Amino acid sequence: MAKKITGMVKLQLPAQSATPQPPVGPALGQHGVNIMAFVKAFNAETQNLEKGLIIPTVITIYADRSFTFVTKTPPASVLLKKAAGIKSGSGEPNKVKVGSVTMKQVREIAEFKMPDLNAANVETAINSILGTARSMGIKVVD
Amino acid sequence: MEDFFEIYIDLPKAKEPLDSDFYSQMAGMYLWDNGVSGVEERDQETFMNWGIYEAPKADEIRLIASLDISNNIDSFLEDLKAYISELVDDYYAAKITYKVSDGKSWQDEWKKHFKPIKIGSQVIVKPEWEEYTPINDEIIVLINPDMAFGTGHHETTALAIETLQSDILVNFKSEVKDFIDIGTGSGILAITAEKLFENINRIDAIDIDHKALKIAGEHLLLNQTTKINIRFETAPEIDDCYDFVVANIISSVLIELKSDILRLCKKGGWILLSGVQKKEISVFKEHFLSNEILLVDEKDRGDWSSLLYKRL
Repeated sequence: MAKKITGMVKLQLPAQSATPQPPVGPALGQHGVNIMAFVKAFNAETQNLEKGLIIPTVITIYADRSFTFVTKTPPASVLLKKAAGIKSGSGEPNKVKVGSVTMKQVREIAEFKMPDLNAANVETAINSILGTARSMGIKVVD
Repeated sequence: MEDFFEIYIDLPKAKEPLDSDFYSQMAGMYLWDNGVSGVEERDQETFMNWGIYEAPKADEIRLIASLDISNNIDSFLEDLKAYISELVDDYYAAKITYKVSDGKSWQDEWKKHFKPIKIGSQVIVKPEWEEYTPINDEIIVLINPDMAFGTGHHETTALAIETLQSDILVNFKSEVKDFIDIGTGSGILAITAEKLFENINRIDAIDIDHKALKIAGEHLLLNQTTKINIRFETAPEIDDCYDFVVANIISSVLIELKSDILRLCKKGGWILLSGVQKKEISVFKEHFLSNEILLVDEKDRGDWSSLLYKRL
């Protein structure tokens, strides 16, 4: 079982709802990965998450074309959108504000995202989430 | 399926205090909000794909979004460009292109990579969808590539299957009654053993990966085996003895398990070890020096080696 890695694919996929349609099929098919096996496994792995929530996923492909994958926490932008109860971010974030979140919510998102962020501590992670909120046209209130 | 638009967006990595994937994250969200069916990310971490496509620059992330062909691509790109120019400070660093991609059925495209392969003189490993008529004494091992290692396409697995058929074992094959496969993965070696050793009564196939065991179970059904028990277990937990012990794992784990591997093999039995890199074979053999075993065969394939020992 000596596993030599021959490829890595990063996809953003909706929880419980991945299909073999592009980009999954082309991205994995070119490596000879069993696409349906991946789709089934991904949907099973995310069955406890909110359906459709976007999950960054890293698939590692081995020399014999078997594979493993890890799912990461949803992007901060997706979590902020959910916390603010909005459908999408602002196209003109500096001029048009589309919603608001509290500092408590920002902290919760930062703590939740910590494992996937490069941040050294929660305060740095909070700053990163605040930056994302600003770029989405989401106000942060106390 | 129908053709589809493939949209390429090259974005710079963001600078602190933003997370480096901030722009790709935001652009990804925009794309999802506007009807794409999925997003792939390519960066230097996906470096092993360089043979397939051009490598992104070190400070860039490339997003590839798939969009249904029925969309108005000009209007979609216009809105996307407006959004990206608002998002990225240095707009010149962001590049957006697209192409129409062939909508062939990707669901089955990957199967092209898996054709029946012959390993040794007798064993044909093939996925279930490929047709193959065995010639003479050939045996068929059905393996569908999945999340468990061991499709027969890697040297370490092929070496182990080849050794199971080696001339040295020909006169002893009928004596093998019980067999253990440590780190069974897809179950390929256990299944091969059941098909090769005519007098075998019992095969224990163990692994510490639940997913692998599930897939191994599917392969047992596919091959209609009757002698194999698959179990979530480690070698040190087993209190039993076997005529044949096989372990296709990385060398560091094999060395760690040495005393258990020796303990699990009956006197006069066989130990087959695979997963050892050729460059480390001398050091590995020194680790396995013991007056309880004798090295009787050594095979190489590519960068890998396998070793067959006789238990004294």
